[in-house]
Amino acid sequence: MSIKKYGIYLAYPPTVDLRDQGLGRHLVEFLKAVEKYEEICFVIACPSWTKISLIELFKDANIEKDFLEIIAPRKQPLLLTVYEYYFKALKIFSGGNAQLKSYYYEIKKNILNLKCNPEYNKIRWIAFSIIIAPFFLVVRLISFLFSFFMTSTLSLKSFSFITKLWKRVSPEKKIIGSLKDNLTVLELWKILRKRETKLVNNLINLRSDITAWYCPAAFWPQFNNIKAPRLMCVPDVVLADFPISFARISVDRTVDSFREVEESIKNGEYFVTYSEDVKWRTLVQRYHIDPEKTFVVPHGANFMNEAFKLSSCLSSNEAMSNVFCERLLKNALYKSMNPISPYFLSENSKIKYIFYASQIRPNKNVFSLLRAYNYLLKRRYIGHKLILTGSPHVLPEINEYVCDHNLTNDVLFLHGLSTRELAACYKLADLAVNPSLSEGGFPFTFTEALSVDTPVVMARIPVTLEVIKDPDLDQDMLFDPYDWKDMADRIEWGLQNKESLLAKQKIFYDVLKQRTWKTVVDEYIAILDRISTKDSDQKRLEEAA
Amino acid sequence: MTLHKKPRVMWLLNHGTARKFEIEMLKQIGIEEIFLPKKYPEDITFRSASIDFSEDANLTIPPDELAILNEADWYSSPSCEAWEIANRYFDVLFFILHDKNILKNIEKNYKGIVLWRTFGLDRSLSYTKLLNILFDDFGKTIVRSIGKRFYFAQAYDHLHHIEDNFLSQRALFLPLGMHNSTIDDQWQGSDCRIFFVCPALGFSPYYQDIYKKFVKDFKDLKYVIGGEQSISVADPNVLGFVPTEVHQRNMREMRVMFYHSTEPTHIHYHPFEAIKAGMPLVFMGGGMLDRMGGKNLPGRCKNIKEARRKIERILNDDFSLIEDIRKSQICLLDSMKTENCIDAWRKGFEPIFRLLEKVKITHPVKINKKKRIAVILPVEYKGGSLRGAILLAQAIEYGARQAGQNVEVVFCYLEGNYTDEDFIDLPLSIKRRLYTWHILHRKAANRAMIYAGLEQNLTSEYYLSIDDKINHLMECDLLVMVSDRLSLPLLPIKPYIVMVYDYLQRYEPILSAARNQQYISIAHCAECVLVTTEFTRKDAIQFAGLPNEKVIKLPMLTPQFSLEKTIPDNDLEHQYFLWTTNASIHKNHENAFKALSIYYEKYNGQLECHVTGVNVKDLKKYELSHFVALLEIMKNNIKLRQSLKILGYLSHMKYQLHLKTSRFLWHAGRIDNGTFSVVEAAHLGVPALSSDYPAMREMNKQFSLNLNWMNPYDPEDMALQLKKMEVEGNALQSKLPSVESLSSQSVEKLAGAYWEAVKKCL
Repeated sequence: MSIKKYGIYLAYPPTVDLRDQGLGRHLVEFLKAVEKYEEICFVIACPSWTKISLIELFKDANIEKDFLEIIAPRKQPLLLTVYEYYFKALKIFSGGNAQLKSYYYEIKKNILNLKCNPEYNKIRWIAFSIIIAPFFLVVRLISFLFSFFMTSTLSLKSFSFITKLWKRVSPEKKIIGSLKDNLTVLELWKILRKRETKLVNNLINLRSDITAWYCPAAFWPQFNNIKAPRLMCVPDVVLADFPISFARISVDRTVDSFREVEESIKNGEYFVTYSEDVKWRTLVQRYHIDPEKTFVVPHGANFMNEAFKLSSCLSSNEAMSNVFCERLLKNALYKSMNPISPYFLSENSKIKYIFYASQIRPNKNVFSLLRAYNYLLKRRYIGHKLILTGSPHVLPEINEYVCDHNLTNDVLFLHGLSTRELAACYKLADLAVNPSLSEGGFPFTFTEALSVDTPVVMARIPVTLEVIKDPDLDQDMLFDPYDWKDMADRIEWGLQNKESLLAKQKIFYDVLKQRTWKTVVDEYIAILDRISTKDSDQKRLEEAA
Repeated sequence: MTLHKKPRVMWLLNHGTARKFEIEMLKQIGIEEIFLPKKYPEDITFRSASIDFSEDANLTIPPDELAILNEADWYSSPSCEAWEIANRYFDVLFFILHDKNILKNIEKNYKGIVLWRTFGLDRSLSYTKLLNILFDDFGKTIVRSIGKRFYFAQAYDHLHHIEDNFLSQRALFLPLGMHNSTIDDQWQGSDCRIFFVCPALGFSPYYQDIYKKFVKDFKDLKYVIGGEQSISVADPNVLGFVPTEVHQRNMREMRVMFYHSTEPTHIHYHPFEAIKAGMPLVFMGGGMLDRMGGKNLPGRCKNIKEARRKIERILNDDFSLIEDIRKSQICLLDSMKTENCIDAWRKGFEPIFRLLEKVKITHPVKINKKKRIAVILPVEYKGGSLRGAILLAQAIEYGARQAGQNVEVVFCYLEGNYTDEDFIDLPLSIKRRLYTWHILHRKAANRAMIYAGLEQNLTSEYYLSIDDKINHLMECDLLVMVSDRLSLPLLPIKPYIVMVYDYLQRYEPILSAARNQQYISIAHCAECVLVTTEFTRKDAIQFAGLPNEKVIKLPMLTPQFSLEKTIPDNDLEHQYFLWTTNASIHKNHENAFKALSIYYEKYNGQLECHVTGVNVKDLKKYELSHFVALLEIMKNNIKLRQSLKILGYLSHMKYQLHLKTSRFLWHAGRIDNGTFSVVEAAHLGVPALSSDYPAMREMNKQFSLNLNWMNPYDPEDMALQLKKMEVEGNALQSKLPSVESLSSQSVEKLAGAYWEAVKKCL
């Protein structure tokens, strides 16, 4: 039996841990489903630095790594290795080791005290020149040497740019500040990535046995340099739909990334989206992509009930399951980013809440949800809390609204939840809500909430209307996301009619849950097969001509 | 080539010579139905334009729809109806860029394949530059947004070499030739003069320079200047317009034609006409003729000296040279022959025919997306201005509904001192949305424009965006700004209409010059400007410099003033008149106070004067210069002091109560866009005395109010008219319009006009 090989292309910059990425989780689900195919094999091409992260990811997800082949340049750039050592050292210095940690805070406190001193500036420079400067000089020297050795493509111009940037940053910030987000470092990663993707592409182009390639994201234009049939996934181009909101919170560097996405799309060959909406409105209408070269593969269902599944002998014990979830929720509450009363953390306390699991981004419409909640709490007296999973610091106005409207005790931001904690939050919520204005596909909220028997109300947006076609269900569970009052009315109705809503939604959920990741992967493989066959037919025709 | 069906084409040009050739080409490649425009700009640059109805007979579209197409202005802004017909029946459209609006309109309205027909420009220009001149950087964005449906349909295959990628990558070669290139040699050359064609001398600096150079180079030789001269030229050698037979005689008898052009991307028609007629052509090398005939033709000249030498020989009867030139120049017609162009046209249309199928594929999931229009109150207006804005939103919604359109209107207002009561008149179907102004620095504004796919050259340092805490109204299709009073430019990310009620600043010193310019520029950047009086329409054109077609006059809207029947009787019934005003300078307070003083002193006025309006409670306390005089007048007139009752701002209910029981309403302002209060008074059976100015005259006419007039600049007349109203007030009630008459001006009745205006910008 001949085995058909397909490739998956990744080009993350250094230091990205795939386990933290949505795409990483997507990849895991994808590859778990692929494991079941005997006649198909996937090869992953990635930069040298992603290889370790991939192996870790597979280990966590119990994916047999022997079943996958990874193509990557053999060694990672020397500069990166040194950076990693440097970063590790810095981590230990600033927080990793308890003893060092206390020294670090002591130093930090002293610096803060010093800042109050009128002679602070003088002291700062003396201290800097005596204590920190030698260390800093060593760092700079290392940086310079690596820049020099690492790449011949690093021109004098870019070097001077880097040194200018160094000069702008104050000495303490350079040492103590977040090196990961440092503009210099990001510039260096860009150069490294450019060089590395060239190497990856060379390796790919040597592999004629791989019949087609799949790229799960649209922000790597180098994918289009592969000389084989290519399928690129475009989940969405959210900046294009929320231009002003993202312009306000982004910087000019984001424009470069955005242009990379646009370049990837414009030069792409075949595309896959999660919804008809993204296919037609974004790819066909905005980027003039041939609709015949764009495929739609909707999401599979996401099940949260797996996360706290009891062993088979206990599986019918609902009470035990609930207790376990309560415990998980308490754990989650400890992660609240705003102060939470200790009474809620005690064993016996029970809170009633509405739940929205999402990052806080302009398209997520959190502000409208807060307006709706504020009204429900203070005019309709619903009494529930609102639990969100994003960090309020991403959009300062969110935090401002919560503080200005005296909601700090009622709106809880539980950031960085584990999958189990997330599942427990869903399970114990009275109602899940998703007010998002725009998503790449039908929001996972629906299957995630219903999988743990929590009803859900959602925004009436195109990707949702592609799936929710029953007018009754539409009327019961969807609201106009541009009208907070409509949202509030729907939430209130959902809370008052929990059981009937759940019963209706369960019927539809039973249909949706048939669409597993296996179904999704089947469809991907069919597409890859189709584009590779089409390509070979084309080649045969050309040869014949 | 097999066509999937026979497509229809709109050839939206009026160039007579090009039309003959290109229609022939289209027919030869299998296109049988072609629409030709019947209107072209009355512009002196359209010197070779004409109208041809002959193709109408071949069109298999309903005659009434063809009539709409024939009425449309295809060089600028065809109607929505015309675009609907174009989309229904026509697959391909050729256009030229005479007015920038046509490209914007095509991008916005046309769904078929778009061919920008380009014949080349002089060397100072390229089509990329032309777009930049017309649109700044935005032209590129418009072209890109048409995507693969757009082609740069060049008449010569090298035109795209000087264009930017967004045009050159979309180049398609459709050669320009001659409808009939058969040699018709009747040349005699008996008139020993040079024939030099140089049109448009009266207005074109480009041709004026060519003419001057020619005259300088050939001044001692005999010549005539041919070519269309829309503006007469004071040179006896310039022929100007000549009848066809004279033109044919010239072509037959003139000894030689000189063609000056060395333009690399443009050529005129007349050298080919000369060759066809057998006239020897002496031409300068380096231009387009070199591409057609090489560099060795005997008529070709490297420099002007050589040209002079050859022309002198020709004029001096060197028939050997003449014959050499005549015989050899025939090859220049080769590339113009239909048989040599047809293959390029077929090849050029291949991708178009392929694309036609794909263009028709549409979104399979039919989601009935409502158009959403945001009506935005840009300032924290209350009172009449707020009610006016609500009426506008209502009119748009009613109008759309009456036209069977699926439209949603949202009413946006600033966070501030509004209560639910302020919006009591707003129908529930119009949703309210709070917003705040957000100021974007140019850098952020640029980013926003890039993300939105509308990258362009932003020149202002700061821009305003409307922050509704949702998506800055990005989901709306059109914004309607109720007033031009914006302190900074609006980020040009969404099309907007602006309602301008008046240009008071033209008549009253209420604005700085910079602020005035800012407000005017808001109107200029709008898709269109709505006004409600002829007076403001004229100001918009004469004062703000807006193009006539951008300003749309609509009927004034007034609320339906229904008085609650339970309003109790007022003790003071009919013992006072009501003066509605506010603290603004144009409300004419000084003259009004003088008039009141005269009314009470000289005419022994018997009625009290009750003053109401926003910010009038403390009228006497204002320290503004135009209030100082009031205090003086008050001080010297006891009866005035006793009779003047300042009520301040009244709720609508209280206001109506006071109005209903007053003898009459007094409107003493100098100028504005008219006040609703006189209409409301009429609804309640209360007559009104108004200042006489154009907007009030227009309001009087629209609502048949039979207002009583006074001169707001003459306190004596104002006082006299007040007395007259006191005496005749009751009788005047009979002159008021009937309820039926007033209801004919209801929002429902007038909404259609509003929707028609808004629809054009959607």
